[in-house]
Amino acid sequence: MSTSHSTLVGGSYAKRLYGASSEILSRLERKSWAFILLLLVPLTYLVLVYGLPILILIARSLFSYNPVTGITGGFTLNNYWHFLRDPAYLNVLWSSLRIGLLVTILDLVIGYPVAYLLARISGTKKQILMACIVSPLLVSIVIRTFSWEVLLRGSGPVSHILMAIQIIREPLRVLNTETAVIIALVHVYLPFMILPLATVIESIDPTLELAAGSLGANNLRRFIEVVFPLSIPGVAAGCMLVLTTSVSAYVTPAMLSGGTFLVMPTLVAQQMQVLVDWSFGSAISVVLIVVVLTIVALFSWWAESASKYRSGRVAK
Amino acid sequence: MKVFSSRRLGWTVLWGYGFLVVAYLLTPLIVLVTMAFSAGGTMTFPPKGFSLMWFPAAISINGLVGSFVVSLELALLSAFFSAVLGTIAAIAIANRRFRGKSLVTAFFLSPLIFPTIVVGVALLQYYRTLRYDNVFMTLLLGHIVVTIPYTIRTVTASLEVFDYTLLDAARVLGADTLRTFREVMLPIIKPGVFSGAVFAFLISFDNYTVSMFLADAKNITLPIRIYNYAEASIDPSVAAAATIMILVSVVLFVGMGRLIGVRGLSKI
Amino acid sequence: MTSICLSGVSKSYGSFKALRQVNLEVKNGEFLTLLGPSGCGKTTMLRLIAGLLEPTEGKVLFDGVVVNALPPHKRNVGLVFQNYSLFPHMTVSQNVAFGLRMRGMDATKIKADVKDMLEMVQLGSAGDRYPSQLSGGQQQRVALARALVIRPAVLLLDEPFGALDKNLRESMQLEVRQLQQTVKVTSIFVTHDQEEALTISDRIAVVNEGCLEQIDAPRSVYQSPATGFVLRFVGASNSFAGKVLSIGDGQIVVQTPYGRVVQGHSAPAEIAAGDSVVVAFRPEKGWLLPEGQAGATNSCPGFVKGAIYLGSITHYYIESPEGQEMVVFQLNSSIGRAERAYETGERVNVCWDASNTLVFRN
Repeated sequence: MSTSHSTLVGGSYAKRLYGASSEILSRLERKSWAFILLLLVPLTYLVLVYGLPILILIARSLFSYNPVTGITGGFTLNNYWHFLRDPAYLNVLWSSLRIGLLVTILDLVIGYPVAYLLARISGTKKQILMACIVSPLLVSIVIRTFSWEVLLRGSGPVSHILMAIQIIREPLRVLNTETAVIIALVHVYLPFMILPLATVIESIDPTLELAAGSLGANNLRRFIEVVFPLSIPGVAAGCMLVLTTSVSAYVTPAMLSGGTFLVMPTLVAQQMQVLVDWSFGSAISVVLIVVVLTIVALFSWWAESASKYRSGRVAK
Repeated sequence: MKVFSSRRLGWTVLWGYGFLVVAYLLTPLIVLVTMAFSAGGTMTFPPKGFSLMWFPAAISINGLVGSFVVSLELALLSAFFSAVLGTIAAIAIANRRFRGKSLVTAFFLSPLIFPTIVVGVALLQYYRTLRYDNVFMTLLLGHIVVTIPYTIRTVTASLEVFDYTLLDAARVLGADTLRTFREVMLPIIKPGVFSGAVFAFLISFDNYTVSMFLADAKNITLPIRIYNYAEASIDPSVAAAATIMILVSVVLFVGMGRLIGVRGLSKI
Repeated sequence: MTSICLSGVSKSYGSFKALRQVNLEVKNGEFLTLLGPSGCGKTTMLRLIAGLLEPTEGKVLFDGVVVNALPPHKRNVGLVFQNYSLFPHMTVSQNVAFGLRMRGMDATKIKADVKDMLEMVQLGSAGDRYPSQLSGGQQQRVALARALVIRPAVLLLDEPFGALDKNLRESMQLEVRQLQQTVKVTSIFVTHDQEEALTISDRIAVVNEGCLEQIDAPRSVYQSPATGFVLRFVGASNSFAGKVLSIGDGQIVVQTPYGRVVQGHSAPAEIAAGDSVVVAFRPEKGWLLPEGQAGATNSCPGFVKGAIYLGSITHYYIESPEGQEMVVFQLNSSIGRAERAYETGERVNVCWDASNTLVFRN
């Protein structure tokens, strides 16, 4: 028994308590199943504060709910029918997907060369570039979106510049349109595309490119035939991340759409907060979950099959 | 000897492009920050004149300081509990094989992928149903959920390179379980725990979509406050408030970074 | 100083049996080596003694007291790990002081003991350095110091010299032995290197696939191996398969493909006529005679496939007509007096005495 403990914790009672718990812990330590006890602590927490609420959400979507009286009715799939049969709602779903896909593709195109650059440099230059890419993520999404709101105003700098070089004749009117949301989302999630992509590209043996070069391939061909195919797991990871987060994004569409159109998250917010129809809101949430999980599954499968390629397990 | 090869050209173009993209990434924020120093009454760019007058105005925005305190408390507590729970989870799981490991890991990391808005919605209904009305606690519990994946990831990374025979050495030398953990494991995984805590802090501090459903009049987090104010205002005080918030985030991040070294910060 | 005993100890991991019914007694103050190939269970035994593992069956005893339930931090053992396991975030002094701190020793006494111990392992000036700043050999000595300073009941060493180069290894072997004899602590040393085992041990316990094949002084393990495994693992040997023809008069006659082989020692008790056995002899106990000449009880013809001159000895590789390879060591100093050198391709007779022949069950 160490003396430092007994001086800190006065009294033999505390000492005995420590001794007893220490005794129990050492007995447990040598058992191979002891880690489960450890695991149960965070697991219980997450189940109670996260898993359970989501299950209840799913359950709630399957019961009817009267917003006025606040009474839940019986089991029903009405909420889902309501959503799936109304073209207005389906349009919202389609908007979310459309925006998400555009953002993803744009981020991929814009971000790929930067990812390549980041992967192939090292040392201080790399750290600085990394810091620049990561730094916007330190700032709240509210502020990042707001900065675009300011930039894209009719009276804002982008408008002035474009008018000055005569690309447009009148003040910019992109705010409160889908375009504004897309522009902002592309900006916000670009680091999410660059980082996973760079990680994967870094693991591509650079001598492969040198070999291709010595065999006569120019920059473009090296890229198409060597780098890109091997980077597909990274492409899949980046796309999955960007697509799922932009489909689930709330703040940016909320701030920049000006209420002129809805996406899934803003629709959910509207149902929950404004119309207080919790059953329906839950149903929409479940649809959103399903969409996101499907995206994850698809891209994981894609990354998986592309990885087999890389580790050399190609059947001949 | 200067060789003007296509390879050199390629690299120059690549670097040029990289520079452009970085500019694109940083410009909106830079513009916003410069507007905060404007002497004029509206947000124009370039700002008219130079003045610090909007900063005091920002601080006196109704409820701003209060929200700052709320967000700070939430973030500190979230970082702490998230670090504790995440470390426990990582220690239990890392370097161990057991049935259902991928399931459990997926569950722990799922808040990263799950639409945060759905988490907010679920928690709102949950606490209403339970009639639990301690708003601050609900916010805290929600923030911990959303930040745990980050601490788990960073601590797991530390554990993957951890030499477990050190624990055996300590035990044989007379250290019981708790002392072994405190004197040998914890000091060595500290960078992982701290960097996880830093991320957790920032994620919590900046969080909107979970907070928006749970907050009430007395517990308005800073992002919510700024969002509401931004919708309504036209003068640069919002820009000033935003600048302050950016400054806080950057200072904290760099400060923590100093404490634990640059290596720990490359995990997101 | 403590005596250690493993009584009927087994350790299984699922269906894999790492140790099977092991009975081992380590005497007070002795230096015992557990020798065996990788995966044979010797490290498992060490960890059982240290308390890091619990046996599936059987008892671990310290001085006759069962310690199965005693956790490692209460057993007072000193363990030196294969990779040293020095705490990277503590200085050398802090590493060595760790065990003393856990025992609640007073700070000034700790400082003095640590200083003395570091002097004893010739690292007196390295106290404030970190393990990463030391060489392999130095780290090894810190690990030793850390284990010894707590005056353990038993010192356990798990292949501690594996990562060191040959010269360093040999000097460390001597150092450890000297230290052990000075401090007089019961020590158990694990290695797969039979030369190392022969050099430093009071007794060697040969382990194979979870079983103890033999425990004896090094000389006995080498000269009177109890099983075929011990024969093959410790030292080089020549062996033939055969069937026992007769037993009696202090000798066993075995029929092998090369003729009859006679063993002139007391036979291992379990062998009876008709049994399948292996007969063997050590290369240094055999000698060569020109073809056709017989000069000993046992012989086998062949031709010299190769000869390797090693300064004081020559290794002859002989191939018999049936394709069996044999090795004979010849002292080069005996050439000219009793023996001659042989050329590659020469036909010879490999000879050895009955008294140097070993027999084991197959």
